[in-house]
Amino acid sequence: MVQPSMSLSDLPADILLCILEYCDLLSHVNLSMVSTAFHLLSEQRGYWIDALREARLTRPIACPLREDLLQHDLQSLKRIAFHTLRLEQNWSSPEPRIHGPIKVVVLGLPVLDVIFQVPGTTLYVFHSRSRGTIAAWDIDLGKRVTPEIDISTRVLDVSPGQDEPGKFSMGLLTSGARDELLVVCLEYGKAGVKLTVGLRHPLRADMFNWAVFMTTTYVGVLQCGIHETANGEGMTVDIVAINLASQNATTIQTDIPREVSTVLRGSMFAHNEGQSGTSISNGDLFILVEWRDESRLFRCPKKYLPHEENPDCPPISFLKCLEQSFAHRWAHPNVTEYTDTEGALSADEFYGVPAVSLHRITAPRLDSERDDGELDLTYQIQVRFWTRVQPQPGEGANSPPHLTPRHAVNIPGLLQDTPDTSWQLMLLPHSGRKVLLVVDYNSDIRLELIHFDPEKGASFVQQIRLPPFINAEEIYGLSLDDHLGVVTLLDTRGVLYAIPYA
Amino acid sequence: MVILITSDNVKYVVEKDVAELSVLVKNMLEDIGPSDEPIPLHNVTSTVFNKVLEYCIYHRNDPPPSDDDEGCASPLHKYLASHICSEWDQRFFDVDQALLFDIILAANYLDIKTLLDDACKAVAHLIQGKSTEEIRGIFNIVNDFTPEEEARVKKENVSS
Repeated sequence: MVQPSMSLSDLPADILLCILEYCDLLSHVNLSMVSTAFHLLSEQRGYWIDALREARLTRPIACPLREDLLQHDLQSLKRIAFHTLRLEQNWSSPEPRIHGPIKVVVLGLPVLDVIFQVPGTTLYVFHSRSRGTIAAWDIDLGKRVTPEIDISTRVLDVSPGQDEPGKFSMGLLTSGARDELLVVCLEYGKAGVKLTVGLRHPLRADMFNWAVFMTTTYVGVLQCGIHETANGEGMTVDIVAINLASQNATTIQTDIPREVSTVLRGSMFAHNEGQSGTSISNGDLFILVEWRDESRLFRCPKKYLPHEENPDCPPISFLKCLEQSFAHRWAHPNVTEYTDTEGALSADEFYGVPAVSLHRITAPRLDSERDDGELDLTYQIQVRFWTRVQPQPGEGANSPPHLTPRHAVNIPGLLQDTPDTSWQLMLLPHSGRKVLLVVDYNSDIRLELIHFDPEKGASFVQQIRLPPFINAEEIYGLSLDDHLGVVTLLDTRGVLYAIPYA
Repeated sequence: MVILITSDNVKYVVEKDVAELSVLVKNMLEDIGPSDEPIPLHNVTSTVFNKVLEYCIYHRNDPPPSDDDEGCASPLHKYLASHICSEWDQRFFDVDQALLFDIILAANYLDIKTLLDDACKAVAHLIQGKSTEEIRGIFNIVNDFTPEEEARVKKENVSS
């Protein structure tokens, strides 16, 4: 008995949906154009909601990270899908094309600094150093959309942003009469835009604070003494964390000597040989210390931190970190190379890249001989992407999870140093999957975009060409939205350019 | 031992734990209680059931799938883990399309979730990375859009 053979389109709808669960976003788009039957299937919102939910697990899609897709109609869902694929294609070509008009917004002088941009939206929060205030702007409208809030004239550090539906918040470390830890929260939606400072926690004046970290339930900094006291206090690094609901502070005294953490934004050392940063991964806090050609990593387990399931977190605890530390010595075949650290940055851990560090590698040029006997030097920027190590099968619960420098890429040149900028011209978006740099390569100022694929452990670098009316030498601030594909540049004249790539 | 009879009247004597990977068979066994009565599988031919049985015997000792996200898998890792297809499975599903679809229908009828999922993965794998035209070719699907409709659908996809 020969039965007519069955075709894909003859399968019942529930089975087709089961197959579609394993198809990526591009396959959904291609299938929707195969025949009228498949097109009909794609006219259901569920077709796209499932595809987008799946897609956003592996990389940002063209809406905020935790946007409720159920709120979108069919057209809007399709728009997100097509936008995502368009950007993906553009950003995988050797020279990405600008897609659509560049938005130019005059922010005015004195210049503003970007505190954050909410990925997947046109909302930005800027800080005015001259007025000591923050305010939110909608770049689509080209204007400020919230009142200004007084914080401080100096923002020392910011945490990775916390994305919730209709809400984006970030921990800020400010300095004034004394250092303060703030939580800035931007709510947005149909009801409009609201900017609030949810927490203001003054920090001890006799301590040095840096490396802000944050989750949706707590915010914190690293801290150590400015002066060594007679009883030895301040010689090691403390972790200070504040529960956002109770506002109770927890101090975790560690055994990390402050020399190891070499901390400190150049105030303790003349050169930025060392940098340290904090990242949260699977509830644990990691302190990444980058110093010359050595990386060290310290872990503070979740149980010490004042998270939502830890209401009895003691106000003071002691943590032995050193035994659990991880050190990596970067191999230098060329011993004349010298490494400085430019930054230890952190991102949301959602995409598995909670930390990225940047380094300057200096080496003498061996092929050149100068008359004056001086050495010609070459410079490279090394970008290291840190990912979480999955416990291997067979490893018990005793093997603590940690981070590993999964991938490093070198880019010729130096970080561009525009005078008077508040932040170095390097940017890690919240996804941790891209790095945007302004690079000075033999006085040619370039915008380099590094794409990192944590799944493959590989990266590729694109040079972003600027339209003639933007002068790369005048770039003062950066932002990168890798959901919508927008590179934002602020220049020294107080003008913002939002350049769309999809 | 459990006796199963396929739609083309082929009799199989199968170990109970293997047979019970099918929720349909498991429920029937529970309903009829201890008995030597053969269980008819109306919607499955022996050709297809041979494959189903091969799969069930190979996977009989697999731990049941769990939604437990203990450990520290990121969303990405969970996603990747769910898309991995073992070498054995890849070879197993390397069959002609008609048989693959029959396996899917049988897995659906017999209620064998892991087989259904793995077979769907195998079909998805055929679709992955293919253009619309290539998908039509692979699955022998006729383009039944009118030229106007097709132009409209394509335009919608590039311009929105």
